[in-house]
Amino acid sequence: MKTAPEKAMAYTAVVILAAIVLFMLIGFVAGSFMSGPLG
Amino acid sequence: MALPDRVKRILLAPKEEWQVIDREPATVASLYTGYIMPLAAIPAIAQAIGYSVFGVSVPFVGTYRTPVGSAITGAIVSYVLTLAGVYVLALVIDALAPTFGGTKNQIQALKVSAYSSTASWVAGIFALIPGLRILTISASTASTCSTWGCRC
Repeated sequence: MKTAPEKAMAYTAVVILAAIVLFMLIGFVAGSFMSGPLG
Repeated sequence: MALPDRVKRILLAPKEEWQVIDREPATVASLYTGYIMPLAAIPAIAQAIGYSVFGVSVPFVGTYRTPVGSAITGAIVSYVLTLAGVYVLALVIDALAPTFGGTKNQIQALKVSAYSSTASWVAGIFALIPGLRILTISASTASTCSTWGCRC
């Protein structure tokens, strides 16, 4: 799991990006199961 | 370690706590039952209650309250997808490790995926109150900082 110190920042940034995309997708899918004011 | 203690430490002293977590033995089951499942339930339950009881303010429409059945369905779907999402993120973290000069370790990857989500799960309680929902976004930023702090 440990990475080279000079690559740790890039690794973390990529992981954060992946998390944002993944959980936005989850929010979008979950939100579509809740009916809104427009139907 | 008890769940409230772990949550408190990861939020208040993340740098020290990540070192403890790093050395701590864990299994997929122990992480899910002891940490991920209870915490991931907070935003799902708060969202279901918040949207069905307090509703959401919609311009020209007024306050719209999600029907209870729909809110519960949304909460269950959100909860299940979050549990799956944590595991998928761990797979991504694990798969990327060699690219950045690291060694693959699925349990350590799951630890990062789970513990770095703490702030956003705890702040999920703010989904209860319409005026405070914006704070869940701030908490997501805090979770990002927590991930940054772990520097896997």
